[in-house]
Amino acid sequence: MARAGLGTLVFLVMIGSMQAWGASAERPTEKVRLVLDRAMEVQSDPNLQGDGGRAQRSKLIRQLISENFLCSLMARESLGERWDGLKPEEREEFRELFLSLFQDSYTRMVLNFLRKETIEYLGETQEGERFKVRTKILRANEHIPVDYTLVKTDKGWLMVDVTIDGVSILKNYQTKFKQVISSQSFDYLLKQMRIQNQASRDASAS
Amino acid sequence: MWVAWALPRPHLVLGTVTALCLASVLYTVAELDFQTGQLDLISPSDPLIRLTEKIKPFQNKDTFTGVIQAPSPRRGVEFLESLAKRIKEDPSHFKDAFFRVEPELLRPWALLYLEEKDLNLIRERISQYPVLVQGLARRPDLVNFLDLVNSEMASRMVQALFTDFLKIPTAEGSGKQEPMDLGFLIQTLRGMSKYLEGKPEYFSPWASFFKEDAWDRELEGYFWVAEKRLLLFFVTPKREKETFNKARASLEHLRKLLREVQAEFPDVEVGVTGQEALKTDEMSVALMDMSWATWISLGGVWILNVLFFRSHTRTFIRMVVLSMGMCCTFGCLTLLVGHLNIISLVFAPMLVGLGDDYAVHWFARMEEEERSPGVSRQEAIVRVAELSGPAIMTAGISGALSFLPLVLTGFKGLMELGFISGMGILVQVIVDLAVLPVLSLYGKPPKAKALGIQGGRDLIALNRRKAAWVLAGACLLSAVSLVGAGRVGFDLNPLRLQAKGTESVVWEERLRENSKRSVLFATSTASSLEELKEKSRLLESLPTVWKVQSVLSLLPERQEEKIPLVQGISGGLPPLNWHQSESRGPEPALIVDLLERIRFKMDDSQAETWGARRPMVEQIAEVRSLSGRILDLIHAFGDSARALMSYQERFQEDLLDAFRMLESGNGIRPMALEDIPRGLWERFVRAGDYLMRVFPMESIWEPGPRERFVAEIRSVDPDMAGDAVTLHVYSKAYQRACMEASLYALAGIILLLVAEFRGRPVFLVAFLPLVAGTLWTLGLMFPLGVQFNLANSVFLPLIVGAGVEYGIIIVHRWKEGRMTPGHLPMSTAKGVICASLTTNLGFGTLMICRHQGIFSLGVLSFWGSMLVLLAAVVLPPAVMAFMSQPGGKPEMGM
Repeated sequence: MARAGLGTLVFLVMIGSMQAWGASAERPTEKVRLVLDRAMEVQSDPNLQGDGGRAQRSKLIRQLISENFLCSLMARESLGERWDGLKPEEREEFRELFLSLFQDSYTRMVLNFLRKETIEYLGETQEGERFKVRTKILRANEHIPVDYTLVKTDKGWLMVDVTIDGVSILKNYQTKFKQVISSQSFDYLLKQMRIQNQASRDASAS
Repeated sequence: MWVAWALPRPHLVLGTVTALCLASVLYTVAELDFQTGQLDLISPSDPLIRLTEKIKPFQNKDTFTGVIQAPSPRRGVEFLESLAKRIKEDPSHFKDAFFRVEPELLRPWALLYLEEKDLNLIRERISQYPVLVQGLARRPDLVNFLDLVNSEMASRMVQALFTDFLKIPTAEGSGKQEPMDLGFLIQTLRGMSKYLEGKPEYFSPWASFFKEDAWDRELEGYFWVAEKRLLLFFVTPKREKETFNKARASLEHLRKLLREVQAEFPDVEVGVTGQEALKTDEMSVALMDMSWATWISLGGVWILNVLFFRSHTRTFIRMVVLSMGMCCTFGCLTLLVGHLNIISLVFAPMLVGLGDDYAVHWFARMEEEERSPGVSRQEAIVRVAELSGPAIMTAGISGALSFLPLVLTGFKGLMELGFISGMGILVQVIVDLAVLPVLSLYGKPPKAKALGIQGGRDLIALNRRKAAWVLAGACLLSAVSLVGAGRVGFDLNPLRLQAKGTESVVWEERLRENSKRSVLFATSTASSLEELKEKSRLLESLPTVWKVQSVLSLLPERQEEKIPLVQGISGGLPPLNWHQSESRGPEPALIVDLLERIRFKMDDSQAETWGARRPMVEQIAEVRSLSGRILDLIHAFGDSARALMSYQERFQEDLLDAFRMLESGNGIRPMALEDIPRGLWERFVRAGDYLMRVFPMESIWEPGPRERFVAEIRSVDPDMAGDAVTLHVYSKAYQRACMEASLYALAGIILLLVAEFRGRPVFLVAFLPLVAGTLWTLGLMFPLGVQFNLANSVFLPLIVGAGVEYGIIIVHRWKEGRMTPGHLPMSTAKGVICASLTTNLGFGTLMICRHQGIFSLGVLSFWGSMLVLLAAVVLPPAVMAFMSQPGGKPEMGM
């Protein structure tokens, strides 16, 4: 079931990962709105429909994710305290793998499930240096809350977490990585990430 | 001498016999009893009778077993509840009924009744859903439940999306997370939907959550078999006195109720089986068929007689004489035996009906004598009495002697049959010879037609050459028959005797196909608990035993091993914070919010794209559909809060019950015998005796497995009784008794014939048709596909009784010295053929019976009797073609 409903959810999450669109003076809500609008625009572009346009849509959405998520920070925070004990080359490899896998998951989900949605913006709250933008995707007889966490950087507002119906993606990474490392090892985690990354590349190539 | 005295006093003779008949009928109606059990048929000295008496207090209960096959366990329970209400309202037909053990009585030990694997599964489920379980314990209400389920879904979805590739190897498997089972959510939504629709029906989510129906209180305490595919109930009928088929009315009424309930539940199949139902069905079908067969037979006999003798008056006279004989026979049997059993009821009237043959021979000869020129009616009667009287008497005694030796078998059913039939034939012959001379005065005499004895018509006329060919053909046929007879076996499965499609048989077979449970089992008792434990242990170790049911089996198995598991479950459970439960109704707006969020995740159109398996896709579609329906109902009706409140109350009650059950491991102790509810206890313990029901591993309707089963259980407990043992003893004794009866009948006839013909070899000629006809019948059984069974094994004594007279009548006629060698006079042949055909008609009509046992008896006895007749009209004349006529010359011409 998890996989089944996932597509739809990911789409919302994905929406937040679109292109860094505005200037640094924008409010976080405006940033999220611009990214989501852009994502839906790509998905509903008549010239990019069908299997023929899928590769181009994939490229554009991946680019949105790359430009609007602060993946390096997400990678570091996903490992928690463990990050500090890593060698520089381990950190680098982990960061690269994390970025690739995260973007890959988002891209795939958005491509499959994103529609032209009605999105309600419910406001923003500040939590320390971070801002949380609350949204709700509305459909007939169903909805889902999606919250985006952003930080301000030199490049403007960038997303560092998305919470889908109360479940934080970043916290999910943290919990799972911690479980794997404590029950196996960091090397085992890296190995699993490498295998998955290679599988994704093979799938893309084919 | 009798004839000379009786002829002038016809009214006196007839009046006396009629009065005797009336007295017999009145006496029979007042005193005759019926015995219906198999045990009533075996030897009265058999120890099984004493053993059965011991278990009788236990046996008279639950003799109808109802079997319900419903699309779901819940549907089966609904059907049963509806039926139970009707049965309880009708004490006039049912003595007792047992549908369910009150679940509350066993509740403290409910977890111990689960198997160890199920207990492990419960522990796994609790560990798989820690957030859900702990969250519910903290706040046990509907809103929180839906919230927790939604969170669990969201969490699993995010995991599946982003970290599904991370597999942590475990001892049990790949480490991959199992997909979330939505069954318990579906049950909840289904119940909510029903409450909102105004048709409140609750479905416990916990049965689905723990994958174990024991969590569904609605299904607890019932008698499930075959993994809840079949639901059993037990009914004790009210038996009628003074009838042969005592439970028939009760069974018919039960089936009527079943059909009534079934009209409301067209998707449910149901039937009644059990020993009493099997017996009652068999009796009902057999009696109804026999009744039809009797009427058809009577009509046919009338037509045959009219065709042969062209006289309604004489046919009527024979029927009157036969009725008189029957009345007197019943009077004698009531006086001397006092009852009929299942065998004597079915066969005795048929055999007593053989007595009609003697009247046939009388009138056949009468016709011949009346046609002699210048012979008056009285003179003809006297001549018939002088010439044919001894032959008729000998034939009657022979017939009686063919049955009377059955008394020697020691098998009570056959002993009584032999006595009643033998006595009946003798009574019939006496009545025939007493009344026929007088009654022959009535009716029109045939037209005078001179018939010289030597010049009379013959049915058979063989010269020696033709006779040799006939004998050679008979020898060849006998040789072929001998080969075929060697291939005929015994089929001792009583279910195959029943009519095809008999409800009780169909449901017994369905029960056996779906589980090992059978309505046929062995029974014994133990006088102490220690003896019970020891015997149960030994019996359960036997390869032929499936299980032993006793008061011990009511206790959970392997309690010592299960208690740590149960304690582990209880120990890992958070305490239920009952004070936090929402006493107000759930806010509809909150329910709407949660259901919309759940529904968003249930995109069944995309589920398969993501590799969800078919059952999961179906569950997603169902959740989507149900949640949509609930949302529509809440939006459509203003007062949804009350319905939701009502549902929540039931939900919380169920939740509390589930938690209590899970918590029951804290401080649990093994269930002891004293904890068994009284109602159950009394079914297994009475007056210090402990009942044991031993169920077989294989179907013991088949004789092989039955023999092995009975032998093994008797090696542990020689006092074993019950239906399985009774059937075993009965079928073996009956099979043996039938073979002995055949031998005794043959021996008796041989002795009689030797005595009758004073040891001269001509007695062999009288005996020959019986031997040849029987042999040919046995040879015919193989191509007809008929085997000996518990119904038709009695065929040989039947054939002997019915067929012996033909040869005697013909040889007596030969002894008169008025038969040409190789010839058979028409009058004699006519009597023999008519007598045979009337008898065969009786046998033949058995073939209309749906009861397969009686049908096969009809096939065998009909063909047997026909072949004996064929042998009787062909073989004696063929042999006599080589003999000299009696009168000083040597009798055997060869």
